[in-house]
Formats: sequence, structure tokens, C-alpha cells
Amino acid sequence: MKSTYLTELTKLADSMKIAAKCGLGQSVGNAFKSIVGNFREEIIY
Amino acid sequence: MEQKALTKVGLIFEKIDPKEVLQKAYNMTSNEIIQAMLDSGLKGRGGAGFPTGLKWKYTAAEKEPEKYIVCNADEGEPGTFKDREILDRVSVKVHGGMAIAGKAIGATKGIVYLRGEYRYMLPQIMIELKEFHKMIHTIGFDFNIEYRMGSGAYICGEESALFESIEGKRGEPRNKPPYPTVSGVFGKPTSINNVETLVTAMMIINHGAQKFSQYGTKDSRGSKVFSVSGDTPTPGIFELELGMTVQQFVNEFGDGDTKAVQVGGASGFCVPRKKFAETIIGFEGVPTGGSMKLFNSSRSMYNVLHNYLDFFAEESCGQCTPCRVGCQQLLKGIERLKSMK
Amino acid sequence: MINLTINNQSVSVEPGTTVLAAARKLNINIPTLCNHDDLCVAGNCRVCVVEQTGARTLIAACAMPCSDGMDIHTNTLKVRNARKHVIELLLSEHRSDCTKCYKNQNCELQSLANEFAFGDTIFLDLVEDHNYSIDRSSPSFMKDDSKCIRCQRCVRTCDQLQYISAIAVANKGAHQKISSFHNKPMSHVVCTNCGQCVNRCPTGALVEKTYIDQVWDAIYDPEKHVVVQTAPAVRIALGEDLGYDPGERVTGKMVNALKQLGFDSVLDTDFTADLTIMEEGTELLVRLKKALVDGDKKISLPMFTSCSPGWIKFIEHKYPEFLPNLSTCKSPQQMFGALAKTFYAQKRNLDPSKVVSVSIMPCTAKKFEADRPEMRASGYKDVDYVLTTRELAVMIKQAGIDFKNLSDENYDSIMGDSTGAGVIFGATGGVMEAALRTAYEIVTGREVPFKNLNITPVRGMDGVKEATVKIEGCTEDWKFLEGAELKVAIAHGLVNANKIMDMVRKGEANYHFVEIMACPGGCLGGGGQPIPTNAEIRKNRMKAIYSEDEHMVLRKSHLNPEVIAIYKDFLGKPNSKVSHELLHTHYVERDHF
Repeated sequence: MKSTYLTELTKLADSMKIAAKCGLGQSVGNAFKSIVGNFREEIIY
Repeated sequence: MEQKALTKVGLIFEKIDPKEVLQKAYNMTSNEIIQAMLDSGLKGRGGAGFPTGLKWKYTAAEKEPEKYIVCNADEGEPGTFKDREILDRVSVKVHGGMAIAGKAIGATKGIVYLRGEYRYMLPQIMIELKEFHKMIHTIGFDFNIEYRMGSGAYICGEESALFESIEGKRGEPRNKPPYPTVSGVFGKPTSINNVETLVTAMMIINHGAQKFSQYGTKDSRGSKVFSVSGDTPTPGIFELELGMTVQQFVNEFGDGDTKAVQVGGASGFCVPRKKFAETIIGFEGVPTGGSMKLFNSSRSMYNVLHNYLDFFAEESCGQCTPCRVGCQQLLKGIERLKSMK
Repeated sequence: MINLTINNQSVSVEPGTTVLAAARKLNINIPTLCNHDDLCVAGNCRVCVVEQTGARTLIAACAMPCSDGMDIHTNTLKVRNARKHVIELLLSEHRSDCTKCYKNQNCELQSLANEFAFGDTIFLDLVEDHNYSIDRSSPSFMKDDSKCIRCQRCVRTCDQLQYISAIAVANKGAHQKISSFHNKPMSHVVCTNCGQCVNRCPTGALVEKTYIDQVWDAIYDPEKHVVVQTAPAVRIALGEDLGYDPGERVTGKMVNALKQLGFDSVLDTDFTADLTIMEEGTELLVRLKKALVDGDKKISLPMFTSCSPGWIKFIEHKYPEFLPNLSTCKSPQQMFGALAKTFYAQKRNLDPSKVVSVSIMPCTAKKFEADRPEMRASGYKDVDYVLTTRELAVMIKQAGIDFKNLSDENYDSIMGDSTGAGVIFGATGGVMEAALRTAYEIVTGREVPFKNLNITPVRGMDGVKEATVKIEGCTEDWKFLEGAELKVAIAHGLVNANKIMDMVRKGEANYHFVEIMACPGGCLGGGGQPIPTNAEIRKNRMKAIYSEDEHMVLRKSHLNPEVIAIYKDFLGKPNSKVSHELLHTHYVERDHF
């Protein structure tokens, strides 16, 4: 459940990276994905 | 992959005779200046890393007689404070870089967009700018710089939002194309460069492209200034050669218990301990406008992420849907994760 | 020409064409939301993102100019996922109480949601995070931020079409909103109530304030005599909300429908439009005489028309020093209202306190106008309720009337007669044309020298139009005008009005008479007209207006038999004392924020 939800949020971050208007909006996904990707357990628990 | 050892460099803040360097630039043609930038391999120091020589070349190619050099001094990325230091200590080099850029692209007007929080620096800078104008006019430059203040919005560091702000409008990014080299501030061809980029450009004119490009790697030439903060015994400003790994960086600046390094600020990348050794700081690995934030094992990465998302949910300009609403959903999403069973 | 491919189909386009326009050329539909044909490109909703081969990110089709060799794909998985996310995100910040919403079934966000057929969403409802309240301060429209999706169409409309910027973007991030100056109530800011934003809002964030229930209550009240007047531009647009294409004239069906709804008398604003010409035309001639012959320096020229309440409020806010230049004539709606509870009530032997006066208008500003304190000349509120064209369509649907199969009916009498000159009030240039048809004839005794009475120089969609009419062969009374060149100008859309006002303020304009309508195309493009609107739709409505004029037996206001009769029986002559009491008004200076 938690894991599925986090995966969905990551997909949103992917969409933000390619659909946001400017470079800053596109880069929000960087921090999210790299922190979630590397410290998934800290985010979920 | 090409890799360099961690080497401290002292080019940005070195003592020079600015008049001598500017005289040298004045005697060069536009093409010679641009060629020097292209040869040096200098990429923009604000974070995005667009080749400076190309930017100047494109702007120079525009037929419009009125052009602008804009210095992006809206240093707002969390964890960056190098531009403040540069402007504080060597503003003459920033202004010098602008005059050189003006000469290269054919602009007589320069605008520095200074972060609102740095307003306290303005009185001193104004004194230095007056001296600077006197100096370059003696040399023969037809170039003048004015300052415009930001008002605290992160988004105004984005180049087109910055132009809007200078023009007195709400700081919101524009659609691209057209790019600033074609239509920038006031709709005129504009080269917008970071504070450090301009200083580096002046340094390249001083020492030659060779001296600069001997530093760094194929994709990340030269040295750059880092803002080191977080769990480190030695926070501060350091000019380092590009091409080191995060591991080398952590060895130098870490507190012995570094768990992750956030490279490039809130909009950058988080490198975990297990990837320190394989990750190069630079455009081939993790690019950075200078922000290096170290976290030791006492830090909760949830809190780190929460802090960044909170920042973005606040600082998104709100114009486009993915950023305005997406940031809120990510922030509330991770909060929800905490409360989910 | 630029060559590119979209979904593997080749297309050639002019330089500067957007990817969206190129796709439309190929009949490939790319959904949009913030995009509007009347407004500049925004590129901010991101619903129209498409994939360009080789590009790092998706691109917004509405904002991206085509370039040679582009390879665009509009329906890849990447595009679908991003687009679905964007729409879901918009829905998450939008109060989706669709079944209760005034815009239900006429909402672009709802249509998009429908197309993408969402089931459950993972996104959290963000509406509750905000302390939203609905701004009901304007009598014309409501602003509900909880339904706003920040597409900024309204902001661009108010700025680019109307040169007002009563609303703008405020704050950033999660707190970003469309706000008035310091978040003041809309009734307290420079807003003209023109409703152009309402006409372009894709959701229910900006809607007219509706008085449908009050009108039903009046109709069902046996004590009340309910008269209804219909503005010229309603008859050529109402059909759009009832199954017709833009440009269909439905005058007879509309009259029939109004009778079936239960109005006691169905009358025509065109009658008071004709009356306006008599009053305003006379006022102009008197001003010209005082200024040109008597040399009276106090006379303000040019004289501006005063039919458009959006324009009136604009000049009250932005150019108050020119209020003396406004014709003192009330608008046709308000002349009608003042007469309904005096002349009409007397004629019909009615107690004016029992007369309820309703008007059907293409306009939201008319609701404000009816509420103005100056508009109580009859001793009562002259016009009780103003409904837009859209609201009338709603009432017709509510009553279960099969509109398309209605027979044509005629207006009732006493203030139901009209001429073609009254009808063309609905199009930009129409008031000018109607005034010239009459004034020229008063002064010279001959018809205006234009073929078939069609004064074409004042017609059409140019933002600012100018014309000069040489006056020759004056009758004895008007000899002082012999050989004079009457210089007139016409503007529609307040951005164009501002251009004229700017010239007038700088002393660069030497007009005698200027017609200004607040909305693009004139009333036919009013804020109360059916949604959507664009240049093509307005063009079709304009054709219909002039066709309505051509089909009228009488086409000059001074020939309207009821107008002739009302002067004989009641008013005396144009600009008489009674006229001044009932049909003329004054204006107030307003703040400029």
C-alpha cells in the first residue's frame, strides 16, 4: 500500500520533469527521485 | 571515466590588475573574445551549464542594435552563497566580466539582478561600480552597468522570470523559444550569465583559455567555487578543480559520518554513501551551481526531502500546473505516507 | 514554408505557426485548456504537452513554434501519462461539485476529465487546505477561487482585451491565486463587470450572478405583471445555447418561448434603442450647435455614446475628466425600465409597484447598471432583474420547451415596435450607423448618402474605425452645419476604447461623435452571450445582426411608429423635461485600482 503510493508519487515526479514549463519546475523531480530512490526506507517508515 | 584529484585552486579571488585585463580585452576583437571562451570550454556556473562561448556567439550574431548583458546575481538555490562572497570581495571582476561580454556581443548596457536579501551589499558595490565605470571609460569601453533588486522570489533566478522581474512584471518564466539570445530583457537579444561565470570569463582573458582548460575534465573544464554547508567541520567557500568524486569531496569536508551529499541544492541530486566513489561532481556526473550540502547519519532524509518539497511548494511561481500542484501533492504525499498504516 | 511531421503525417506550415495549429491542420486534436483563440499564448496549463523526437522534455503544443524537420507525436505513453497527471492535478485543486455547479455540462475541465475517464486518483484534495470564500460582491458575477485552475485566461482577457487588469495573479506556489487589488471585493475595484472573463473561464470559477429563481417567482406571483425586454444581440446568439450554429436568427422563436415562460408582455429593447437615437441624436446636434455656432466653451466634444455600461464604468474609473463628454442618455435597457413603470403602466392601467421589469441582455454589466442608484427614475427600481442570454436559455430548458419546433411570434405592443436601426445596436458601429441614418435626415431632409442605408465604413471588426460624413443641403434650421464634416469614430473592446481615449486626452483626436462598446464586436460579443466565443463566432453573429436589419420594413429610428406616438402622447419632444427626468442620467467618478 505505502510502497504503491510512493511509486505513484515517483511517477508524478517523472511527469513534472518533462511537463513543467521551466527548468526549475523540471528539476523538482531530481531531489525527490534521488532521495526517494536512495533512501526509500526512510521515506516510507 | 576521467577523474581528477581534489585540488584547491585560487583563481576567482586572486589579486589582479583589472585595468590591465580590461585593456587587454579592449584590444581584442569580438570574435577573439568569443573564441577564447569557446576554447576554454567554460560552461555556465549557475548550474545549467550552457557553454558560455556559444551563448555569446549566438547573441553576437543577432542583428538588433540594442543588446543586453544581464548578470544573474539572484543567488537563491538553497545552500549556495558563493556569489555573495564573490560580489563582496571582487565585484570589479564581475563588472569586468560584463564589460568583456558586452564587447563580445556588442552590448553597451549591463544589468545586475541582485538577490533582494543582498541589498545590504549595495552601498559598497555602488562605490566600487562608480570607480569601475571611470576606469573602463578611460580605456574606451562604451558600457554601463546598473543594478536591479530582486524581491525574494526563488523563481526569479530562472532567466526569463528574471527578465520579467527586471521589466517590472510578475516574475514568471516565459515560453521558450524564443531564447534570451534572441529575445531577452525588454525583448532584446540578451546574454545572461551567472556572477561566477563572468568572473571566470575575465580570468580566462587574463590568463588565456589554456590555463583554464588545463583544469577539470573533458565535460567539466576548469575550476569552480563551491558553497560547502551541512554536517562539515569546515563550512564555507572553496574553489576546487572540477572532476573529483563525491568520495574525495567527502574525505576533505565530511565529518567522518557523512551519509549523503546533496549536490546542486534543492533542485539538484542526492548522492548516498554507496555511490560516493562512482559519482563525479561535474556535468558528466552530478552538476552543481556550487551548493554542496553534507548530511551525517543523524539526519532524517525524510526531513530533508520534506524541507525541500516545502520549499518548492512555496517557491513555485504557480504558473504551470505540474509545478504548482505537483509540488503540493508530493509534499502532502510524503506526509500522508507517514500517517498511513 | 516549414515542413514537419505530426503522428507520422507530413504537414507544411507558415513560419511562426504553433505545433497546435499545425496539428489542427491535420485534424489531429490536441486537448488544450489555458489556450484561447482571443488571447495570447500562455503555455501554463500543460494539458497540450506533446512529444518531440530528440527533445529532453515534452513541449507545449500551444506555445511551440514549428521548426523544420520536427517530428511530433501527440499520443505516446509518455504524453498520455503526463497529460493524465496534469488533468488529475488540476482536478485536485478544483472543487468538483459538478452536479451543483452552474457550469455543469459546460465546463472545459469537466470535458477533459470525461475524455480521460478517470477512476480513482491518488492525489489528495487540496481545496480544503485553502480558506476559500466566494466573492459575491458584484451584482454581475461571482468569483469562486475554489474552482479556479489558474489558467489565467481571465487575467489575460482583462489585460489584453479590456486594458483594465482588475484581476491579476497574486502570491506564489500553493498560495498563488487570481486576485483583485489587495484582494478587495470585486465591487470595490476597477472591474467594469463586462463579463469577458466570465465568457472565457473554462470552469465555474467566474460565472454570472443568476437571477433565474427571482424571475420565476415573479412570473408565478399572480399579483405581479411581469414585462420582459430583449436586447438586440440576444436574438442572434440565443440559438447557440439551444442547438443552433452561431449566426442563426431566432427572434420569433425567442418571443414565443418568452410568452410560454409566462411573461405577461414580451417587449423589445430595440424600441428604446430607437428612442435612444432620437434623444442622443438630438443631444449631439444641440451640442454641435452650441459649440460651433454659439461658441460655448463649456460644451464637451467629442460626445461619447453611453449605451454600454461596461464602457461607462471604464470611463468613470479611468478617464473621469471626460465624464462631461458622455451622452447623458441612459442606455436602451434603462430607458425601457424607466418607461415600463411610468408610460407603460399608465397605458396599461397598472399599479407600477406591481410591475416587474425583466431584461434579457447579452451582458453582465447590465446587471450592475440596473442596480445603480441613478436608475430609479420611475420611483422604483426601473429594471428589476437582468438575465443574460445564457440564463434565458437555461429557463427555456427548465420549462421543457422544444425551442427548435416553436413557431415564430411577434412582440407585444406598447414598446414592442422596432426598426432595423434598433437591431444594429447589437454590433459595433451600429449605434453610430443608426444615429447617422436619423441625424443626417433631420438635418438635411434627405437619407444618408449610402447605398441601401448601409453605412459600411462604420461596420466590421477593426478595433478602431473612423469615418467622415460631409453634411450638404441642410434645411433652414440646420444651416449652420452646411458643408461641415462630421468626424466620427468607433471602438469596441476596452483596449481599443483606451486607444481613442488616449488620443482624446492628448488632444490628438478631432472627432465629434464617438461610439464605444465595451465588448469585442459590440454587444454581440457581450459577456452574457453563449460560451464559447471567438472571432469566427462573433463574425457569424454580426452577419445575423445586419441580416435582421435588412429584413426589417422600417430601418430608421425616427420612423418607428411607437416612438412617434410616445413623443406625441408622453414625452413631448426629444430632450424635453420629461425625457430628461426619465431618460437621461449622470455619472460618477470612481477610484482607479
